[in-house]
Amino acid sequence: MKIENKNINENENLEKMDNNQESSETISEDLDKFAEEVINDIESSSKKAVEGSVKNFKSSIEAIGGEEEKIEEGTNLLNKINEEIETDALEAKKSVEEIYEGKSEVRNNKIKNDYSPEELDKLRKIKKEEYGDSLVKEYHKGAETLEEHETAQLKAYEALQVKVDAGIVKPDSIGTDMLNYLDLREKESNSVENTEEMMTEINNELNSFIEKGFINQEEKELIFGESEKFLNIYKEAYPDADLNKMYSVVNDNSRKLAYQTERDKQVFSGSDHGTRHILEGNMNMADKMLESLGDKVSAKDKVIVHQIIIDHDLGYTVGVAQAEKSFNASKDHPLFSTKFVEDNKDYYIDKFGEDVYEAIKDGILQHSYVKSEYGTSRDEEKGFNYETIRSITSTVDALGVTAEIKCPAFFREPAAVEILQKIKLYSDTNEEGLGDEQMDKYKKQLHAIADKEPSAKRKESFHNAIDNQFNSFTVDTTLGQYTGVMKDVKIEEKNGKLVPRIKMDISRAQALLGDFFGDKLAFKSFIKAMEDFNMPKDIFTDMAEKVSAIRETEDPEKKEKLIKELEYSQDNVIFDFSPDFSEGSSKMDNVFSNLEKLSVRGDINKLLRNIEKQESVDSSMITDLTANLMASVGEKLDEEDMVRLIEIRSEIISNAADNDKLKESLKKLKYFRSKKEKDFMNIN
Amino acid sequence: MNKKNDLDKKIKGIEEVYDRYLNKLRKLKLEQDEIVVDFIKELESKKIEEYKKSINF
Repeated sequence: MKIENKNINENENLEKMDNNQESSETISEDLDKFAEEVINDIESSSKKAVEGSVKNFKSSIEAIGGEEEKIEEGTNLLNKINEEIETDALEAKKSVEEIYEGKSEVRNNKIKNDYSPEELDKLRKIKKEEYGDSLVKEYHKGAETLEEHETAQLKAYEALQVKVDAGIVKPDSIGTDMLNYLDLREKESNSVENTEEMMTEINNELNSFIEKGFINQEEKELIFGESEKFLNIYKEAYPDADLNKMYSVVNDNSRKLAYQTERDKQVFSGSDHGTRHILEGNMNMADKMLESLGDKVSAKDKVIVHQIIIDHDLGYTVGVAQAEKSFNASKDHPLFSTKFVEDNKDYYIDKFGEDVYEAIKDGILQHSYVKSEYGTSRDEEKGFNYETIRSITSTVDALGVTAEIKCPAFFREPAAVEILQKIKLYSDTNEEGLGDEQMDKYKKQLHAIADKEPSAKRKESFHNAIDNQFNSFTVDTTLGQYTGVMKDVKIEEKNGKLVPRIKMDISRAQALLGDFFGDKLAFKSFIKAMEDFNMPKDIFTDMAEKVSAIRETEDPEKKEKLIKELEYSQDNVIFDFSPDFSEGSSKMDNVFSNLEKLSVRGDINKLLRNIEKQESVDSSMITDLTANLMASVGEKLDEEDMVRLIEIRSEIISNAADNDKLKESLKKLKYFRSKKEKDFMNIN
Repeated sequence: MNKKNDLDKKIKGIEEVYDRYLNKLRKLKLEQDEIVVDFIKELESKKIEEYKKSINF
């Protein structure tokens, strides 16, 4: 209902169409009237434009004494435009007639935009309780092999319809929600003359998003860069596509990226789902994989990979997935993203064709289940290789585990990471854990950081996310992301089979997190990536031991030998870990090394691990082990702390022979907090 | 219901075509206006120059 022409009362007609009670006979009559009026208006408006232009020009020029020659020159220029107007009018009339007569298949070539602001508001108010259990969790129970997971995912997708019908989740509202949040509901669609104009329009729109505080400059550059890349591969894959179709798909993708980036700031799920994850992470890695495959991939393969990556997490934006503590619904996000694509089937077929629509839909649905199959051939009729597409898109998503490609914007600031450290340190040194009261105190500190955000819109989102989404899971996940740095991913041949080689660096922060909070946290990002490729669990223990040995050994030969052993491979993947202990970023490394300087946690945990490793202990062994502790913590303790620690040490030594008493004394050591630590955690 | 959907689709389809046509028409009319304005400006400045010359300005 966006037509503004006053000659036609189509608003009245179309409003009638919205009424479900209305009989199709009435609609049919209205269609007849509407089509006739549109055709008449096209004829009259084009005629008026053509005749009016030359007439007005002549009279204006004559009025100021223009010569005949000049009038002819201008008329010729105007007639060129008039020819274009007449051609456009003829084509438009023909298209209307074809649609009316049913000769041309009518596709809704725009993303659905059928929801009112009130309906959107209602969807945003749906609570996690209304959603219930996660379908993904339920249907994947017991699934182990990839085939089992793929089948389970199809069943989960089928089951989603019940929740959709009940109105709890409405993925077809994503299009309207996107226009709503990006303030585009009233924006008219422009047509463009060439690709240069198209990119200018997209650039201008992205700039308007910056002005409105939806995205920042850095995010805009990333989105615009992807728009340029997408346009090029789309043109290559679909050389016959008209300009407006290109404009529509590239512009919609740019909007989808901006929308996901804006919505992502509302939640602290522990992972970024905006430009960092989609473009800096998945798209960047996918491009590297596509490049390493050379001419084995077609332009269509590239388009499909890009489109799956742009759309795969759209489901995170639906109301119930963003509701407070709505982990079950957000787990089902691939189902929602897929439903969005299916609900916009006409749009996708219009832009990509039916086969590609199916590939995009299936690729999105299965994106969490890693496939590693690069040896199949392209389907020449379809022009793409689904197995390769499926493998690339699922592989890159599984590798989104490290801070530089997955950490949410808010936690890329040292001050925010410092608060995460305080929370983790507090809960690890308190027998009862963190507790709500203490968590609220730390949340206040996070709010103070959010207040410094210059964009009012983003500031509001951060506050909302801290209140509704922040929890201990966010803390562990975010800190865990700082343990590694994703360096490279490419496809190479191994024993005659193409497999991805994934190169990850172990960061400097990894050692500290391991010493302070245990290997589970320190290897979190590596474990998550490897688990998705079904690597055996004992690898993690081996890896932890080797990394620790590499750090401790002074012998260069031994070190080199151990480093070479940090490569783990199986028939679907090669993981190549490099213990360069590289810096993620120097400002963040400072945050981790500051903690190391002030806290005794690493020293105490080292002692506790050493005691735990012993088959049996006696007082002399305990005396030696605790002496090392006393020697290493000296500078980190004041006099009072030192006295307390000496008392605990004496107690541990005297209880060495009694296992139960020893456990109690070691507990005191585990929960010992120095003054510096208390100051750091802001407690008395 | 299916017939209603088909008719709805047709109406939307016609609306899209019409929308696109009007947008393009608007743009082309602007281009025409620009041509007219440019010619008028050119003639006017030419006349001013001639007038200046005639009064030895």
